[in-house]
Formats: sequence, structure tokens, C-alpha cells
Amino acid sequence: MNVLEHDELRLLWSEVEWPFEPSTFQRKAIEFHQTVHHLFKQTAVIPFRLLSIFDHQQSLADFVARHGSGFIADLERLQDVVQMECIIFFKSPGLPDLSSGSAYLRQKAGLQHLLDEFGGNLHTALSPVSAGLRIKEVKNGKRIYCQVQRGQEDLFRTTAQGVKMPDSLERRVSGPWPAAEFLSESVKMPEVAGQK
Amino acid sequence: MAPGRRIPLLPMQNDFESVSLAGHPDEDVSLLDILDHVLNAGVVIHGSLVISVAGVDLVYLGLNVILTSVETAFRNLGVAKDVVPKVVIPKNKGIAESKRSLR
Repeated sequence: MNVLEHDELRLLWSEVEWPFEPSTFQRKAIEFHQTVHHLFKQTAVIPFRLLSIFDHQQSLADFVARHGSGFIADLERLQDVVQMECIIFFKSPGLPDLSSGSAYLRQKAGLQHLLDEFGGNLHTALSPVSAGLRIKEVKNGKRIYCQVQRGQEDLFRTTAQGVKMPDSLERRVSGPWPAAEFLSESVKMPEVAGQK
Repeated sequence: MAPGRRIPLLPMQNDFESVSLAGHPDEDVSLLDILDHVLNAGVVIHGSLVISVAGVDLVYLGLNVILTSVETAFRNLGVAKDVVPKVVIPKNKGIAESKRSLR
């Protein structure tokens, strides 16, 4: 593991063989996660997605020089929060009602209503324990991202699990994660000269 | 999308079993949660990766665009845990062998 220092920033990076041995990818992903999480337990971090590759150390240094202030601003803003997530989705899509077009649409609308209503109830319940909340529509469900103060993770889990859920739906609660969904756009997708 | 080179991952029969983090036994996450976050959350510089499960592409990172995500895998794997996920890495012109990388 190497460290690149730039003002208050510390960028951790490592050298990998490319292409790497395929059978090691899973292990590498877990190791990467463990490294990020180890740091995240101590302070705010901004993870790069796995396999963010720079041609050489100087290109990384140039990147930091250009974008460092944005990274610092986001790290300060997200210093005391973690990201908790709740995913809700249908247990099984079930068989579509194909007796007629309108019956199919009615069934589909009913399922969507169920999902929207439960999503709304979760939103209402989680808002008091969240500093920020985003809902992303995904296929057959919703994904709810919340900014939660460090130390409030258990309260979030209890609250999310406590909302009465229709039998046809399922929920998964996970976290804490680095607050990657709440990064500013310029940090999340910086333009990198010569690397598009 | 041309899939490029397909690289099979290890069989993931344990997707929904927890992975205990060293030093943090109180925090359990699934392997798919980890893959989802390390590939699908955070800063995007560049890269091209497709993870597929049972031939269905789940995650695509390329040209700073994410087309879809891993949620589908949670459901798919819930009913078919014996599928063998694959990672697909399309050929990337900017990536030569033995490069330095953020990990």
C-alpha cells in the first residue's frame, strides 16, 4: 500500500499486475473492501471504484492536484456520517394476469402502488434518523440511501425493520458504508484529461 | 456491447452467507453487497467492467456510465444459488499490462 500526500489529503493506492489472475478477483474485491472499511471505521473516506487505473504515479498526482479541493470539501461535509441502505423489492414477480390488457395493467399498477406506499412509509420513518435521504428506483423495487450520523446505525436498522411491510415485499438493510451516494457530482465523476 | 474477455469468478454458493470482516466480527455483509459497493459506488475515473450472473449482465462500468446494478442478483441468486457468476472485462485501450492502480 502506498500513500500519496497532498495538503490534507491522503490517497492510498497500490500496484497491481494487469491483467490479473481471474480466480483472484473475488479475493481482491474483498481485500479492497476490507481496506476501505478499516479506514472508514476511523474517518471519512471517498472510495474509488475497484480497478480505477492510472497510467503512472504522476498521473495520479496530477489528478489530485486538479481535484483535491473538491475531495477535501466532500470529506469535511461527510465527516460524521455514514451511508445506510434499505432495499425493498417483490419476493417474487408472480404470474402476470394475462386475461386481458386492462387486467394486466391493473395488476401492475396495484403492485406498484404497494411498493410506492411501503417506500413512502419507510421514507417517513427514516427521515428523522437521516441527515439526507435518496430513493433510487430499481427493477422491481426501490433502493433507499440514507446519511446517518455515526453511532446511529443501530437506530436506523431498528427503524427500517420496524416499518410494517406487505407480505409480498422483502427488505434488506445494509451498512454502514462510505457515503458514496452523497458525493458531489464533480467528485464522483471528475474529468480526467486523457483518460476517457 | 461487445463483452470482451470473460473471466469466470469463483463459484459463489455463499453469496448470501456473511463475510466477517477481520477485526469487526459485529459487521456482516454479503459478498454481493461487497461486490456491489466496490464496483458500483464511489469515484469513477475510467474502467470497463461487467459482472454477469448466469449470463445476465448486472453491472457495467464504462465511459463513466452505470447501466444497471446488482439488485437483480439478490433476487436471482435467492432462487438459484448454484449459478456461477462471471466477470467480464471488455478490452480497454487505455490499460496496458502491469499498471499502477488505485485499489
